[in-house]
Amino acid sequence: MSELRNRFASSTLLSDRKVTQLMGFTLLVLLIFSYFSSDIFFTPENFTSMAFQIPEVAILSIAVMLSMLTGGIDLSIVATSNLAALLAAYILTKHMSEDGEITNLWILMACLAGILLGLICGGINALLIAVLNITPILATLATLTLFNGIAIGLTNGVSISGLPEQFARIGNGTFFGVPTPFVLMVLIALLVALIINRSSLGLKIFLIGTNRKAAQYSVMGDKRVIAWTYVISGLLSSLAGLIIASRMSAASPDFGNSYILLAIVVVVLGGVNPMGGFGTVTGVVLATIVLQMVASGFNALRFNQFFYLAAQGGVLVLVMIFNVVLENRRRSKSINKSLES
Amino acid sequence: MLATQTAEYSVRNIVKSFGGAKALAGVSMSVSAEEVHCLAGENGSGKSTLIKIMSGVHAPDSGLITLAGKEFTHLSPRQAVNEGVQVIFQDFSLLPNLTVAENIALPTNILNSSRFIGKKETKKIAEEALGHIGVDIDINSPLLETSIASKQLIAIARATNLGVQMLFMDEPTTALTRKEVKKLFEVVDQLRKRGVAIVFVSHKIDEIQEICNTITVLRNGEVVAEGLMSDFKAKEIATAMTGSEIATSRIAPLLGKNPRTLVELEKLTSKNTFDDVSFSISEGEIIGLTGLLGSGRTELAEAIFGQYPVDAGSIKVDGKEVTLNSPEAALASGIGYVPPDRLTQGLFLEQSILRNIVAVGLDRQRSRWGSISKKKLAKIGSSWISELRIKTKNPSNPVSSLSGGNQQRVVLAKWLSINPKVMILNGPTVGVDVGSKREILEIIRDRAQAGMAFLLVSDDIPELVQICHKVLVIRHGKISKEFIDNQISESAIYKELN
Repeated sequence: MSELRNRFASSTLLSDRKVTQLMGFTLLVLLIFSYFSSDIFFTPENFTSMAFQIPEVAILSIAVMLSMLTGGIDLSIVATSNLAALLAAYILTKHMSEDGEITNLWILMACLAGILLGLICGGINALLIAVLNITPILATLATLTLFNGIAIGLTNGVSISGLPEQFARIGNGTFFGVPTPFVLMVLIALLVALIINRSSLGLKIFLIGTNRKAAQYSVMGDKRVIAWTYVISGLLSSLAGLIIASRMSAASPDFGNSYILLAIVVVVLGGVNPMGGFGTVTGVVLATIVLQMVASGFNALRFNQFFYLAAQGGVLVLVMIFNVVLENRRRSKSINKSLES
Repeated sequence: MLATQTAEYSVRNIVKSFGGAKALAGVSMSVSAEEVHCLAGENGSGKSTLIKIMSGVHAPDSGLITLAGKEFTHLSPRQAVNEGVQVIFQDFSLLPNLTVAENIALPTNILNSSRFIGKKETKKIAEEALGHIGVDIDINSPLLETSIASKQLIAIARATNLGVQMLFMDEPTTALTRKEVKKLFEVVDQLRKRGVAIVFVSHKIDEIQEICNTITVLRNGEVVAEGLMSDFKAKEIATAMTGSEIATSRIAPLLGKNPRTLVELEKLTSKNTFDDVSFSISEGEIIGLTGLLGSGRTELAEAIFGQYPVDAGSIKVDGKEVTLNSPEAALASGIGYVPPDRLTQGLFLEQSILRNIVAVGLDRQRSRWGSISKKKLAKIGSSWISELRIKTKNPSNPVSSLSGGNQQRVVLAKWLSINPKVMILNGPTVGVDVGSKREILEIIRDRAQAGMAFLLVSDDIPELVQICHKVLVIRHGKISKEFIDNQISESAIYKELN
């Protein structure tokens, strides 16, 4: 276990290098697609459509990243985001006039209600994991089922669609030419990066993820810190849910179930140590972009869409191999060095 | 299974360094079959390194190992076992969730590469092994429920099953009663008669004299005395072990006149661990606490830090009674704690030296907006790096890149940086080199001079003698003896311990 952790730790130690690697990888993917199908891939339309799709996955991935940094995991992100979206959608449709008009105040109220619900969902996870000491993967698997079940039960499995025009405009609009969801994602990423790098909570997250026992002996309130990561994760999930609902103009109890695994793939791809303790927001955002580009490029090259999932998995396997090879080479180098001296 | 001819097991001129620090500087030792050889020396003298080299854990930098006529430059663990070398470590390396029989038979089954293990077969192997050494233990009971003395015998039985020719026993009597020791010695003697070469590692002089035929004394990685046991007097062994120049020098810092009492324990009790413990620590005072494995010393220390439950009694800090039911409460009362295991409890190994140093004091560095300035952290970190002379080129390097002594200084810096009133140090010099040890003791003395109070929990008697104002010996959870100032001496403490 500790051997494995060491391996991962040293491979992600210089997170800056990881980010550089991902940048290089992004560029490589770009070059490949531009060579083969620049006419479809390198179009403003394609980039705009990617910019609309990236934010949801990126925000959910950042949520997973937070719990993973402490050595845990949050599987309930999508269930939380759907539940939050459904509550907001319910309030919106309830207070919408016959011809789809609604006051800005009610839009705000609906969003706040969704966010509040996200915080409550995160709070439940926090209670189970930080206070009752239940293993994160089991606790969030249970709440995933619980939240999902509540969503299906209350809606009879039917999605709420036809949300007011004003609300849908948020997720489909642009801000100085940049899709609004993308702007929101950048703001959220900046905020989370600020928290984990520049606050005592953030530094504690890294330390707890590295050695929980030492954290206890260092009196840093490990339970409180872990609780916070799940509460923030719930908050981020609800924001992702609101963005999705706005973009689709609908909320559904079973939307985006594949996003859970996708988010985990993104987080690991982005260089976050699955054992905890190391990772960057930049890495996670870049990883989302890489995966989205692969997806779009796939489309542009007119490959068989049914093989897309395999391509995604293939990318993950390649990146992992790349990491291990690089790490082994670095290690044998340092061993040779120490033998010489 | 057991050896019949008189064979020789020896090492010649073994040198072994760990990252610059010499653990063994040309050690030679020879043990023959039908002999109990004593390997004596204090903590850090190189005993364990020597055992690890002969059992194939470490490869020596140079030197020769000879096992019953076969010569090796180094051994693999498998080779060592095949040549009949067995080690019983202090923790016995047994599996608590298995039964006695399974514990005894498992390594035999592994050695024979048996894929399927029958219950009957297992019991037969175990019964035979216990019969060999003439002890009677219920082989069906789970190991968890057996006493420490039984575990010791089970470990011996396990070793005989693997065809032991040379048996290392690492401080086997540490947690045994006198009666249990007698039984153990009977078994050891029986093994000896059957041709096993036994190396008995201990620093309990009366026991060594009772059971051993020959002796090698190590100090700082060198052989400082060797020969027939009968040629040595108890005092000579003690002098050889400690080196007389250290043994006498007490350099405890001066205490102020009428120092203020900071912490006062009154009849502190935790069921089955410690009982009716009362003492107090004043400003600038260094109190030593020592006791054998399982005596309750670590639990007592952790109880003061709020990490171990207390059933009765009270703790007063600055004259006010406090409830220390969490480390948070202890920290709020100004109590700091350096835990015994640096690697798993003290450090965030893969994180930077800097982050390790600021780990406890993070919240105190928060600005009005709750943010933390990296510059400020770097400044604090580098000031402690120079203050405690932590040797590193870059504070951003992972703390795992440091040597043991420097790592321990990082743990100390972590706590000193918040300037606690009382510091509890549990084994602060375990596994650090001699130079670092001296410097760490100097740091403690300097801080005490400045008014910080210390509770120094340690196995290292010379270190307690060197810097403590008072030494408490804990035995079966009770303070059995209190040594003050001039009464503090190595021989007196050793005597009280054994």
